[in-house]
Amino acid sequence: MTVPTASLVFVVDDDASVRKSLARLVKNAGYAVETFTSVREFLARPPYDGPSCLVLDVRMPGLTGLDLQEALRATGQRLSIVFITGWGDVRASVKAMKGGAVDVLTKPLDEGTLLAAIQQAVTRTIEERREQARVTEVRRHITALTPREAEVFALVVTGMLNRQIGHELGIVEKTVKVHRARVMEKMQAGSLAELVRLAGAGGVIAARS
Amino acid sequence: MSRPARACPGRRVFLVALLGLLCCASSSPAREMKQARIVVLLYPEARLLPEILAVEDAIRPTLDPEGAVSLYTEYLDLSRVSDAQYERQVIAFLREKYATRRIDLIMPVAFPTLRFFLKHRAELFPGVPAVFCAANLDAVTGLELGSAITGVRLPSEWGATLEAALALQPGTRRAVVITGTSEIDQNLQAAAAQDLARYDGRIEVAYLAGLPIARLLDEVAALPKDTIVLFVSLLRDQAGRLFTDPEAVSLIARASSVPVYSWSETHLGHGIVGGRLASFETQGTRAAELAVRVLRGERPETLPVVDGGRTAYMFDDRQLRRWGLSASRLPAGSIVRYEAVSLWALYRWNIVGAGALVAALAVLSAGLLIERTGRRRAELSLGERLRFETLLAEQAATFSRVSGTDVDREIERALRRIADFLAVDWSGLTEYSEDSQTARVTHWWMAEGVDPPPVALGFDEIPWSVTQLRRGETVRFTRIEELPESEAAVDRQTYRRLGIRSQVAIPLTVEGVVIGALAFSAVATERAWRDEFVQRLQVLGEVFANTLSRRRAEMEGQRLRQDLAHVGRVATVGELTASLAHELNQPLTAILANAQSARRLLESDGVDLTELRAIVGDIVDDDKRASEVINRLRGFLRKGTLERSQVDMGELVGQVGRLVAGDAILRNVVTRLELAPALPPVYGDRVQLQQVVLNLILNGLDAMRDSVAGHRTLVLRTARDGAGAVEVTVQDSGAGIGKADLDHIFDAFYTTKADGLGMGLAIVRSMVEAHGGRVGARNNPEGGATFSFTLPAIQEAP
Repeated sequence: MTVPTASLVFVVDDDASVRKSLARLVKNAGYAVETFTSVREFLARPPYDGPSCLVLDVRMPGLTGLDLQEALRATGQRLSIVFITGWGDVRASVKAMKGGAVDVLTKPLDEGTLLAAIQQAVTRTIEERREQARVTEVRRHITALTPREAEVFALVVTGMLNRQIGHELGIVEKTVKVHRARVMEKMQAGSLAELVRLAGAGGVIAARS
Repeated sequence: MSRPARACPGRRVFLVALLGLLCCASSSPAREMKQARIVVLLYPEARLLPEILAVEDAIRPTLDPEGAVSLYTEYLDLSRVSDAQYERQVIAFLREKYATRRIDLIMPVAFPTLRFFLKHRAELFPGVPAVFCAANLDAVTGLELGSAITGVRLPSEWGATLEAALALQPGTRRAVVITGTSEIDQNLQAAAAQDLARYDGRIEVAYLAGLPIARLLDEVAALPKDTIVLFVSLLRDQAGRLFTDPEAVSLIARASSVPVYSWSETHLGHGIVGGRLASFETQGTRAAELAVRVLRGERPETLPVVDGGRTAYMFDDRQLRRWGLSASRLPAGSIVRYEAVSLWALYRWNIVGAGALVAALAVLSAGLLIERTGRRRAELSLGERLRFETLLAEQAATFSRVSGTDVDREIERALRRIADFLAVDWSGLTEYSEDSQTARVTHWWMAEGVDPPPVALGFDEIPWSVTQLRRGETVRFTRIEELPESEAAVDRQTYRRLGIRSQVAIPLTVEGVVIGALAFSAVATERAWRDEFVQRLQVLGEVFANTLSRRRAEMEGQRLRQDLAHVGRVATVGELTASLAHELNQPLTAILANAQSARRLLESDGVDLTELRAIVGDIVDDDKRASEVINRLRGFLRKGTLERSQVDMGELVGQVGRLVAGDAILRNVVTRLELAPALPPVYGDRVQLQQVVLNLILNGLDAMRDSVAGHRTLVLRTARDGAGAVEVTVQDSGAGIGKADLDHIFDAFYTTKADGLGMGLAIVRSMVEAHGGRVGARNNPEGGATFSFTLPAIQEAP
């Protein structure tokens, strides 16, 4: 198991022994660790953008782990959460999983299971970051298109033929072909299929009038 | 060893006794401190009616738990004598008696007393606040309560009783109401008439009021089948004969050709089928609660009159069966008593005790009352008899009041007084113990210079006497030679050895079983025993027997409460399981994580010993923390004595059933007991077995949560299971058990309830299996489920 560089594990648990021992275990496995005694304390920390995992106790005095999950979602922060709970509370677990948790683990925690879940969470953040970066990239490419190219792009990805697009936009087929080649170039797409995929990632919707 | 001469003690003892009975209910004058608050209880009768006893029993502990209040009791005898001259005498007597005392509160009990009190209040007790009790004001008009008074009204719920009767006997067309001629009788009749007027047209109501008892009994014996009898009250018939209501109700119920319904808990068990019954105990408690507030300085006018007090549907199973009435038609929440084995064993002692006291007093009261009303002067020729009767009556009254450890003191005091009266040298109370074959002397008194009696006598030392006594026969001899020469040869020898010359021994019988004897012996001289004294001693024996049984019941009750407190704790542990798991899990989580870190550390190159030491230190700390949690739990569960003993499962099921009776009522569940007679005992921990039964009952009650009200029945059953086992079943009429759940229903944490932890039945299984038993669950063909467990029975000795 390799630990991605600069990945950070946050441990939030009100119990000092649990906090300390988990931090030790996670640190020994090669992660950087930060511990927090409460949800409030964690929320006070500036958001971290790198690969990370939040190990979060379900039941805590004051705000609970589930409250934190909801607060993060509401503020648009995408953190991978591994919940830990002292009691097999089915309802809380279901709620946590529906809220997008990586896993819900029951205390006492098995080292292998915990570390696997943490790694999965960290991987997920990396993938999410990567995906995010790709979307940003696609969006940047889209903004480089001229209005006419954008129109052609939106119609091409619906599967329309050049002739139909020309008819739709009131231009000749040949001009459509030129615009289309420009779009492929600017979007750095090698094929129509790839262009369609990029359109999906970039949120381009067929603008049929 | 001669007795000290006494200078005309008869008259003095008589007066003291009379005053003791009439004036001061507290038997210990030492309690009457100067600052003590004085409360005067006014009763309408000069008799200890069961209703009065119930009120009195309830008032005392609430009003005066510390013994700081001086309670004076007046029995006004309003039902017997009600002419103006008598009233004047009573007023003169009361005024004289309380002239120099500062009274803090007056408590008139029952309507006639309240009326009497209000009429003469200004003259007798001006400005003294009052709290009345058990007064039915439903049909009373023109009564001005005035100021500084509050109290508790006696409810009249004949409508509810009639509804229940009509449900049980749908063919009923006619109701016959029975009442007498005393003021209470008429007051209650008027209230009943008001209730029953609402059923005009639905049912024809006839009143058999003011008949001589013989006529009345003839009338009720010839009632047609579509009729029911509603017994209101019969304290006095037309001929002036006095009854207690239970006496009257049993006469009528025995004679009646149709079922009899009533309104008071005190009538239950005396032949009535049942009805919506009022509790005089609750009346007393509520009134005492008001009284406490008034004594603490609250103004009575700020305390509203309490309307009603508790009533409940209560029925007598024996009567239901006698008339072939189906218990399934009883109103929801009905309490059914006197089933095969009584669920109310504890309570019944009180009724039996009170009943016997009343019976004893009915015999004894005549002479007293004559003296009391001041109409006739006791003649000297009557003196001795009256004195003795006074002594007995007072003793009976004392016994009815005291409880717990006071009983022992009062028994010894009684033995001393009676021995003193009879001029015997020692008196003793022996209790028989079945297993050790001995008569244990539990209380005794001896004259000065007389050797104490032996602590115990083996049955084989006085075999003939024990045989007689256990047959219910009195043993009496003036000279030892009167004992049969051959059969009682051993007895003769023993009595000679003990120096006993004459003796009279009265068997003490409780429910047909002789539990001991009351003996008076002369050592110094021979004593003749007059028949009339022996007869009265037999009455005294009854009083003693009932006192002893009451004390046994009290001790049993106390032990039961302790046990149940423990059960309560065990039950709470079930609820605590979640938080306990959490508390235990924290240190366990830390220990595991630390151990795994240590292992990882050890596997790496160049072990960091400092870190390793820190880890091991943390593990030790967390382990200690975990043990603390366990210790706390253990401390929580610890009980004074945890032991296995012979347990009668029928009795235990009845007790637990009673514990949850209130819960069942709240949930509209009719609980029925079907207990097998002569069930062999099992060997086990009473508390754990109570927990098992409790869990199964609660499980059954929960299962009926969604059932239609009126179809919620819980049957608790005990039975023999083959030769060597006892089976207990709890049958509900709920939704039954799903097929998939049937195999797992006893598993830990397996639950079909939204808010259940799945521990109740798991505890049942582990406890039953720890007792060498088995658990089972099945669905009933007619719906609902039956949970059962069997326990190995103790084999009867061959």
